[in-house]
Amino acid sequence: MKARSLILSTAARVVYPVLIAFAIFLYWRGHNAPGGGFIAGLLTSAAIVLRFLASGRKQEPGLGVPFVTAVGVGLAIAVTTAFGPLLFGHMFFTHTYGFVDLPLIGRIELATAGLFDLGVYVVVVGNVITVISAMTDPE
Amino acid sequence: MWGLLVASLLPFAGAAVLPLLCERRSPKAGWVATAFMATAFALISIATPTFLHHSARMSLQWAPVLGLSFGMAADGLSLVFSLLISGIGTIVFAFAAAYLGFQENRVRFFCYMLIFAGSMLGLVLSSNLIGMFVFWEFTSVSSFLLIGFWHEREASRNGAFKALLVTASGGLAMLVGFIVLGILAGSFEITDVVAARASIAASPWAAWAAGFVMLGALTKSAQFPFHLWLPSAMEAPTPVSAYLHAATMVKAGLYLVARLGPVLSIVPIWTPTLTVVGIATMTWCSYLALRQTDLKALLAFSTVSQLGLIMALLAQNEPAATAAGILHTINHGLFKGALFLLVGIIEHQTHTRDLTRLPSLARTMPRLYVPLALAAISMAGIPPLGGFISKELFLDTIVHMPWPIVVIAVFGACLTVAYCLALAVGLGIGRRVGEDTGRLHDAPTSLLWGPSLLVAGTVLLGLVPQPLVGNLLESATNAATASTQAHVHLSLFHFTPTLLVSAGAIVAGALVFTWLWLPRTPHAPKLISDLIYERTLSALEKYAQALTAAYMSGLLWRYLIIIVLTGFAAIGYVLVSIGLGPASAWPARPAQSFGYAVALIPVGAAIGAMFAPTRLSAILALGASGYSMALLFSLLGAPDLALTQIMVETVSIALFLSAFVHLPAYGSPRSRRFHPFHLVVAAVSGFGIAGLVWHARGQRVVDTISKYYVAHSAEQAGGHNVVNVILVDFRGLDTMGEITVLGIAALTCYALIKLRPEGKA
Repeated sequence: MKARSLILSTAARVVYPVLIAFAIFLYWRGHNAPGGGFIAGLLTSAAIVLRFLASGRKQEPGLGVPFVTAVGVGLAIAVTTAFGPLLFGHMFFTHTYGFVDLPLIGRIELATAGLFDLGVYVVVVGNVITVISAMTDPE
Repeated sequence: MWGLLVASLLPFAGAAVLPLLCERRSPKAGWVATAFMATAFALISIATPTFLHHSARMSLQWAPVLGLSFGMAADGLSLVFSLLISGIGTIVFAFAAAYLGFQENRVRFFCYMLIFAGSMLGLVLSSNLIGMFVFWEFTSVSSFLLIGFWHEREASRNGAFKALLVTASGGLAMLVGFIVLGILAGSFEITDVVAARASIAASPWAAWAAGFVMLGALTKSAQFPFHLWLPSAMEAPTPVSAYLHAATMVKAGLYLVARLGPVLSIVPIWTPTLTVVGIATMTWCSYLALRQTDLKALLAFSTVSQLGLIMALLAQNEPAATAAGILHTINHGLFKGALFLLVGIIEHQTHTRDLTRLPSLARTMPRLYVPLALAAISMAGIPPLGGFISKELFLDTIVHMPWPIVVIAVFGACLTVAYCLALAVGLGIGRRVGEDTGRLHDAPTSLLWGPSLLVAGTVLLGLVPQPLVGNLLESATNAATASTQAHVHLSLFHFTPTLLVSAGAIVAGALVFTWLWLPRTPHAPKLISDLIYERTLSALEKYAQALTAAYMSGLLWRYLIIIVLTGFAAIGYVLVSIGLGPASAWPARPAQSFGYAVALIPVGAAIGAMFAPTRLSAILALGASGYSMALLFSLLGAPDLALTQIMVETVSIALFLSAFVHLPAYGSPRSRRFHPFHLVVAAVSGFGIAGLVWHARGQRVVDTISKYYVAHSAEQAGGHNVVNVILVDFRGLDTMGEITVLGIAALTCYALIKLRPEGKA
């Protein structure tokens, strides 16, 4: 992936934030409408891969941490949400939810299941990018 | 109780914050870790007096439906072990902080050590068998990581693997035993199991439970014939050997025997087997210790031997023997921990631990030699040190047993004296007499104070045993024998016939040492069990390789054929054996006719992929087939599925492209041969799946659970998207398993591609 395409890289720069925003939107609405952590994770991965293709860089684009770490972080989030209820005297994997009123936005729902879904999201992104970047840059 | 809970969580908290607080190689890491351990020790010490006379429990429900909980129970027995773990832990941590070289990744080292310490505390404070098992395996895994800390050395990796293989499989056997016990008692809580001991012993399954639990204890405590892993574990950095493989982890097997003794000692096989194995291990390994030249190997065999002694004591499950066993556990933790640390200093100063190459330590390192000699003399059981008292109590118990056991045990005691003298006197004299040793420096105080403190402990335990541990021991003995009447009185001298036996053993040991050991150079024999282990492992590897090579041909289409045919053979077998039910009718109202048209697109795309002239066009055709499936899904009212399908398709095309350069040349369609067999497999796959779905439609025996999900999704989980609620809430545990698989797959892929050894591309 050495030959850079100017059109692709320019387009990617515009499309990338849109895709990420859409992924966050999909994650957020997942509990009540089509979407969720898994789908959002795949979309984010696709967005990152797009930037990866467009930039043609050898380095993984991202936060400066290897994406393998994300796998561990995601699993940690998921496990923590699963065991968290134990500290409050509830069963393993008990989820709860509540509603919060925010100014301007109105009433939104917060569910602990969303936190678990966040773990799913992070694992999926970590998995896809790890595998793809390992394939393209095997050194 | 809360103090204990905090104390057992502190090491884990330490392991979590250590990487955030310190740089990788920062010397600070060791001191931060020591502070965490010291706090845990302080909390446990403060809590101890409260629980000496009445035990306490608390528990957090985990999955009550399965009878699982995370429970903590504090009584004398668990407190003795907790004090050992946290107390010796603090000293070893402080020692390691000064001992580790500047190049070492200290943060990683201390993280592993803290995780180990926390798991060990969890193990001894668990009130529940399953919780205990979880921590048990945690200690096996952290021991694996610590033995393999210098993973660039092959011997370290092999040692770590051997230890994990032996202890983790023993742990699994133990789990089987635990489950049997739990089923027989109707509860996994240890107190319930102990309370139900009469009915458990009456069951024909009790012997199985005892056997499996015994396997766990024997592997963990490295008893014959599982003693092979401990000497190999000596590849670990010395503080690890002192802490895990002398003072704490190998004692987990002893703890298990003491903890479940009240139940399992009623089973006829328990006490005799453990006694014989313990005594045999004690004598055989003290002989092996005498033959070693590597100081750490000598200490390793001596540890196994001493563990055998304690195992035989605790197996009796009667107050006097149990008290002796627990006292010796404390003693052994003190003197063996000290000996390991001192050998670590010797290696640090002289760059060798081969006793045939060491000069006279009494002359070159007097400050190190004094605690070394004291610890070795304590281990030999020579008065007035701590080891003497517990060895007297051991002999007191043994003399009432059948005479072959008495003979073997006394012989073992004599060999023990001999190898202790090899340490105390042999190292004092040194084998390299007359050579220039002017370069050697005595041990620095920064390293010496830790082991000296432990030696001071064993000296005090000999001089004033009763005020020091009398009450603690009594409470622990009561807990381990499920009684309330145990009375412990410790004193340095009590004139019984065993004193004569003891004196005889010391004299005989001294004779063995002067006549047999001193005049010749020891030569370490190869362990027979090691040979068996290596042979078995290499035979297993060879067989596995041959089996794998038979079907892992590297050709994707072969894999596909195997997967498809195996899958359908399995499903077909089940379908035929339960009998095919009535076929379902053609749906009364077909899906929109528009759907049929859309369904033709993926078919066309798939045919296109078959005849594609280049690989790129084949990939694109497959992509088209996938995307049109998404269209079909959305038409059929499954938006979540459609979204997922689109994303999966996109990502897998990207994956395909990234692997593009690694793929072999793509033959043109004309050059490809037609394989009738492939057509059969394809037909089986396609028609098979269609037939299965069709058949399943007509086979609904019970109502689907999906109605429950749809009805309760919004009200119970607060979500209206049933698919998502099922994924993250109703069936969250499944999702947990799935993302774990995803994680493992990513790590495997990363390791296989990125971490290949040089030159093996």
